This record gives sequence, C-alpha cells and structure tokens, in this order.
Amino acid sequence: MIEGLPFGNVWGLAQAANPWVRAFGLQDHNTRIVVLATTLLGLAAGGIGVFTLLRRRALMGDALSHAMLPGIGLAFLVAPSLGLPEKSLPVLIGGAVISGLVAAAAILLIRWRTRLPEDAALGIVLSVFFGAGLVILSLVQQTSGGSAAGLESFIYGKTASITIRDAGWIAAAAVPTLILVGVLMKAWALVCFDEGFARTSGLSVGAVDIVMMAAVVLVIVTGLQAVGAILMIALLVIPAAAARFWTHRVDVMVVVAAVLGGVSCLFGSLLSAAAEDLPSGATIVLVAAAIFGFSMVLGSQRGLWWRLRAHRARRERTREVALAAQADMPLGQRSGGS
Amino acid sequence: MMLATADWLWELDGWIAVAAVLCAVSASLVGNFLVLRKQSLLADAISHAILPGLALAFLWTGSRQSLPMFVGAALVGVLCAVMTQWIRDSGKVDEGASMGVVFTTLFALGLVLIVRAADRVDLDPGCVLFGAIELTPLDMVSLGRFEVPRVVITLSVVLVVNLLFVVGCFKELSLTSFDPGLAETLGFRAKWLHQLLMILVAVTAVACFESVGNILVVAMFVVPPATARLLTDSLAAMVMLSAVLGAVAAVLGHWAAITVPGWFGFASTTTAGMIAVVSGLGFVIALLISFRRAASARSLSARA
Amino acid sequence: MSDLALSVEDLTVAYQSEPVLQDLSFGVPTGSLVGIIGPNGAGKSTLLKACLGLVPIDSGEVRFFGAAHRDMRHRVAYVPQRESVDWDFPIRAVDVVAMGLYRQIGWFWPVRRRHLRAARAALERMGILEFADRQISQLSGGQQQRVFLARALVQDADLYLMDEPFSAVDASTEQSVVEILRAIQAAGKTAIVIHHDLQTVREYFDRVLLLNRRLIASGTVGDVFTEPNLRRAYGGRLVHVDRPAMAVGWGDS
Repeated sequence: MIEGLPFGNVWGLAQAANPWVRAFGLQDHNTRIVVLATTLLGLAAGGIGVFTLLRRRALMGDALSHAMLPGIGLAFLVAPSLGLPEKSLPVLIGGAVISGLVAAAAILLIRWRTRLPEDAALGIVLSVFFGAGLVILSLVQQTSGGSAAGLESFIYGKTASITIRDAGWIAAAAVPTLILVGVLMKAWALVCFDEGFARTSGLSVGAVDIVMMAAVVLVIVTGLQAVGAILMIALLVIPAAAARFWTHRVDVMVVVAAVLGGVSCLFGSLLSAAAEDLPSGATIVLVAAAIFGFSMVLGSQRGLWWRLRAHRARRERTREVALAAQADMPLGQRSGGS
Repeated sequence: MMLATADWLWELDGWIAVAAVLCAVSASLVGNFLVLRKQSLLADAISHAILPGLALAFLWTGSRQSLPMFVGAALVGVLCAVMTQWIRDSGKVDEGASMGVVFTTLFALGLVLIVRAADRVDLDPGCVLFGAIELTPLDMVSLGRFEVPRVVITLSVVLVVNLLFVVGCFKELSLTSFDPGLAETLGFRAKWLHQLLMILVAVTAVACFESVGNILVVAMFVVPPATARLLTDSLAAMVMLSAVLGAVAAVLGHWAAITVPGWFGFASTTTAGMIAVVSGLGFVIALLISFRRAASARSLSARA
Repeated sequence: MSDLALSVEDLTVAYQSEPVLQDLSFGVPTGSLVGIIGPNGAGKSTLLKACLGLVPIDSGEVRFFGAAHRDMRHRVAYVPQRESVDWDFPIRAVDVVAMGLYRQIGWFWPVRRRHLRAARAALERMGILEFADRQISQLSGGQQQRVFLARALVQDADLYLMDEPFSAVDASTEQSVVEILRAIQAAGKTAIVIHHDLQTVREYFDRVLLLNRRLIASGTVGDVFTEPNLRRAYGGRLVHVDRPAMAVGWGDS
C-alpha cells in the first residue's frame, strides 16, 4: 500500500510517475479491492447470465435492477426508525432484495396469468417500480435534507470507491451463486431447452424459474450498490452473449461466460485505475463490449468470419459440382478432393 | 383527517399536465405496436442509448441548444435499434440480449464522454434520469399572441406525426404486427414500416425524456398499451383505449404528485414518478378485471 | 384394470373457455401400438399434453397403469413435437439423449461417462451415432427426430407417447421409427403415436383412436378404421383423406 495517499483517490495516483505500472501491478490497496470485488461479480454474473440468456430473459436483469429502487428508498425511510444509520448496508440490501423479489413475482404472475408477452411484463415492472422508487426517494430527500441522494450512484455506480465491506457482500453472493450454477446446471439447461420434457420428467418449472430469479436478484443486489445498475445489466448480458460464439455446449458456455465476465471486470477496473477520467463501471462495460465484438467476428463456433468462409466454401463446392455435372463426370470421383 | 387537494394553479399545473398528456399519448400510440411485436424493451434500450447522442451533440456545438441535441439523441436512438437488429440477425443472438449489449455499451460510451469532458460539459446525468416536467412552465416561447412552453410545442409536433403515422398506416401496421411473413409476401414493405416505427420511437423517446426522464418514458410506451390489451381484443380499440388511459394517468399522476404527499405531511413529489405509479395501478385494476372475466367465462362454459 | 397402459375418463380440456377436448373416455391395452388420427385442430397434441399434465384439465381423470402420472413418471416417456424446442440451443445430440437419464441420475448430480455411453448406444440404435457430438441445429429434420426418439429410448419406459414423429422426416427416418415401434411392441410395451398419413395407418398400428374434439371411435384398426368413422372424424371434408393418397401416389411414380 502506498502511504500518504488519500484512501480511494485513484485519480491522485494517476498523476504519480507511472500510473499504469502502479495500477496493473496492483500496488494500491484500493485498486486491489476494486479489482477483486468486480472480478468476483463478473464471474458470478457471467455464469448466471448464461441461463437468463438461454431462458430468453436476458433483460430480466434490466427489469430487476431498476425495480430495486423502491426497496432502497424504503430502506432509507425505515432504517432511522430501527435506530440504525440512514445508509445502513444490511437494511439497504434487505430492502432491495424484497423489492427485487416482489418484482420477480409480478413478472411471473403477468407471464403466467395473462396473454401479454414477457417483454411487456418486464417493461411494465421496470418502469412502474422505478417510478415508485423515484417518488419514495423524493420524499426521503425531504426528510433528510437531501443527504440520501443515492440515485445517481444507483444507476451509474461508484465502482472506484468500493470498500472492503462491499467486497465482502459481493463475495458472499458471488460464491454461492457460482456453486448454485454448477449444481443446478442440468436442471436449468433442461428447462431452457425443452420445458415440456422437463415437466414430464417431474421437474417443477415454476420452482426452477423462481430459484433462477432469486439467484439473479442476489447477484444484482450486492453488485448494485457497488457498481450501479447499468454495469450490472451489462455483466449479466454481454459475457453470456459473447460466450455463445465460442461453444455449442452449455457447460462450456457457462465457464467461458464466467471467465469473460471476470476478465472484462479485471481489465476494465485496472484500466480505469490507471487512466485519467475513465469511470470504472463504464470502462468495464466497454471492455466487455469489445470482447463481445471480437467474439462475434472471430468466435470459433459461430463467429461471422468463419460462417462467411463456410458459406463461400459451400458456394464454391456447389459450383464445382455443377461444373462436374456439366462435364458429365460422376460426382463420386470428386468427393474425395474437396 | 383532511384529504385536502393542493392548490391547482392553472398557469403552472395546467401546462405541466398538458405536457404530461402529450408525452403519454404520443408514446402510447406507437407503444401499442412495440407491445404487439414483442419489442417493448426497445423503448427502454433506445431511451438509455440516447445519452451518447446528447453528449456528442453537446461537445460538437458546445451549447445546450435543443435542436442539435434533439437530432443527435434521435440519431443514436435509431442507431441503437439498427444495431440491435443487426446483431440479432447476423450474430444469431437472442433479441433481448442483443438489445442489452447495444444499449449498455452506448450508455457506457455516453458516460465516458460526459466524464472526460466534465470540465467543459455541464450536462447533469441526473436530469437524464428524472426529467424536468416541473420546469415546463419556466421555458416559454411566444407563439403569435400566446405564451406557450417550448416543450409543449415540441411534443405537439411529435404527437401529430405519431397520430398521422398510426392512422395513415393502420392497416399495414396491424398486418405487419400480426404476421410479418404474410405482409412481406403480400408486397407490404414490412421492413420499411418497421424502420419508420423505430425512428418514431426514437424521436418520441427523445422528445419525452426531457420531461419525464429516460426510464419513466418506458412506462408511457408500454403500460397503457399493455393495460388496453388486457381489456380488448380489437386493435383499433386497443390503440384508442391506450391513448385515453395514458392521458388519464398523466393528469391523475400530476394531481397525485402535488396532492398525495400532503396527506402524510410531505411537500409535493415527482410528477413523472407518480404518473408511472398511477399507470401501474391502472394496470393492476385491468389485471383484476381480466381475471374476473376469465373466471366468469370459465364458469359459463362449465355450465354449458 | 392394470392391463390398461393408459385409461382416460370424461376428459375435458378448454383454452380460455373454448372447449378443445370434450368428454373423452378410452383405454389403451398394454402391448398395443395406437395411432391417434384426426383433422387439424382436433386436439391430438392437446390430448397427449393433457394426459401428461402439461396443460390443465377442466374435468376428468387420467391414469397410467392404474395410477396417477405423478407416480408413474418413470414408466412413461414423451416425445414432443420437433417444433416445440429451441434447436438453436447450445447442446450436442448426445447431451439431449442423456436428458432422458436425468431422473435416474438425480437432478443435482453430474452426468457420468457411463450415462454418456448409454446415450451413445441409443443413438447407435437409431443409426445416427456419427452425429453424437454435433450441435443439434446442424442435424437434419429426420436426424433431430431420431435424437428425440433416442432420448425416449434411454428412459426405458413402458409407455411411449409420441407427438407426430413422422412429420416432415425422410423415408429412412420413417423406416427406423417404424422399426423402433415394432421393437417397443415386441418387448411387450405400449406406444401411442399421433399420426397424419392415413395411408400407412393399417401398416403401422394395431389400434386407432379417431378424434375430433370428441372421441369418434377407439379400437382395433379392423373395427374402427372404416370409411364411415373417417367421414365422421373429418366432417365430410374428404379432401383430408384424399391428400395423403395423392402424396403417396406421387412418391411412387
């Protein structure tokens, strides 16, 4: 740890002689915490994100993270009456979990009981809950004289100032989530692939969905107050979508997505620690997006480049076959050559 | 207990309500087709993605003039829709996921732009989230003999355009929403219509977010049409009902924002948030009605 | 009654107050090959799904081997319609087949090598072992259908419910499906198959269930598969009966 530097002042460090060495050498205590916490979060979000993607609920994280705002607002209101400080972290997390779970239940209710498509359910829950959150927060600000303003960091994140306590919460959610993903992989994959068969095999699809959503809520809640809603959404969606370009197997895809999520966070937070004026949450998203772009073009299984080449080769073969037919040559003679 | 109604000042609250109604009606008109095409979240994606458009326009012109920012934001909004489609089609990525990839990336890009230019830019990210509908009556322009809020003029233009689009292309819109394949074979340019719809969604989102913020605009796009969908099976009825529901929620929302907190000893709260809450309550009521209807239909068929 | 593999009594199913199946009662004896026949929209798929608890039933009772489906899951295998799943899913053919063993493996335990061996054996029996490691979207329609059948085979059930295994498959797949049906029957087991091609009913099945929202007839092919019954099932729209005949005629030429 570098003595004499104000805690959390990554920007100050950047003015030192070689900020890149300092950041990438993990010489700063604060950088180490940020890197560790975000990487853990990236691993867990990447892993569980695979299943929200395969269940065609990639934007579930979008809806749930926005829908946690009213719970956070209520936590601000309730905490003082419990004799706790206004920004008591356990109360905040409790509030966010409760409103996240209520939102998840609302989404499933609309999905199961009406003819509205799922994306409409997500949009309704997202916007109505967020509106309620804004209303509650505006009331909170009146009681506390504006000290509770947490909305912007809720959306944009304050990644550079993650504390060791935040990191602890993230680890407490990320590790069990990764274990859960490993244990439930088979059941989740079956439900995503073939719901009817899953049900005839005696699997309760409702229970599977609820556990999956609860895990997503858990990851989002701990990540939210550390890195913000937008980064959370990105971490749930982008690594999983990028991993699909590299493999045709669910188990491999989970590992690849987790690694890509972790790597994005690792490099993103290091970059933002080293460079000036790069907000860490946004930098992580941009690193993840770059990885996605690379995977989309060069991914070994579905990359555009390979598909284009295969397409050309097929066209070439068809032409050869046509030419061979024209020359009255038996097709079998040419099949060995291609 | 006194359930007093706060003083409704027509010269202030009247204009705020007008702006809210204009937002709600123009958004729900095009929102119907987003809901029917299972693309509700495109509204969310586009309204997040306009951030870099605002930032770029601001950096480019160095001022907060509305026209360049409007154009910049709308362009990036359309870009978001186009990129989502491209990633979905050429990368074979699930639509929701490609949306998520595009809009979080664009949003992050906007954030970086704003932070890097923080010394020159006075663009408040908070304003993007809340909107500033309460400030509507403070920015008046004169139109002939009348003083009209600038926002109201912009939103009226958007409303008229959306209305013309929905009425003029109603037949084509219903066909392409119902069966894009059939529409294509019948010679309808389903793709062009879709692009036009995307442009209007982007323009509407940009026009509205200034008033109600980029997330609550989703409530205006999605909630009234979804509510109407629960209550009717006819597309024409759904479109009209959604416009009415949106307008009612807008007026009630503003009234509730200045009145309800008073009951509990608070000052007024955010109008945009309250509009979303009132729309949500309307949706819950429609949900209960549709459950009751289904239950009575079921018992009828059991008796038959 | 335990000689009935499936018994249905007074089954009624409705979608949003619109009745799809009304007052169905029939029994399927153990060891028979049953074809379910009926026009489009007759509720054939719904019947299978209702029996398996995949769609809610409004009234009536379904029993498998004299017990509720809940207690007989291990004895019943289901082959859904090919269109019902996401073929773009990141999974290999052999992993799909292994899904048939998940109940046996246990939900929280990993798939082991011997399970994959069993899955490969089933693929070999269907004649598509060479495609075991392919991603499922890279298989042809017929091969996909065989993967589904292989998944049902590894379940080692006593009753197989198949939703249109013959739809849009090539001739050699059709042949191997028929062979599997014969093998199922030879082992003393039962299969209930939704079928479209009236021309092959006599050849493939020994019992028939004629359906058009209500039960038209149920019994042996000889008793039930008659012109008057078909006319009742297809409502006089004999074009449905003629069309397969034409298709076969073209196929022969």
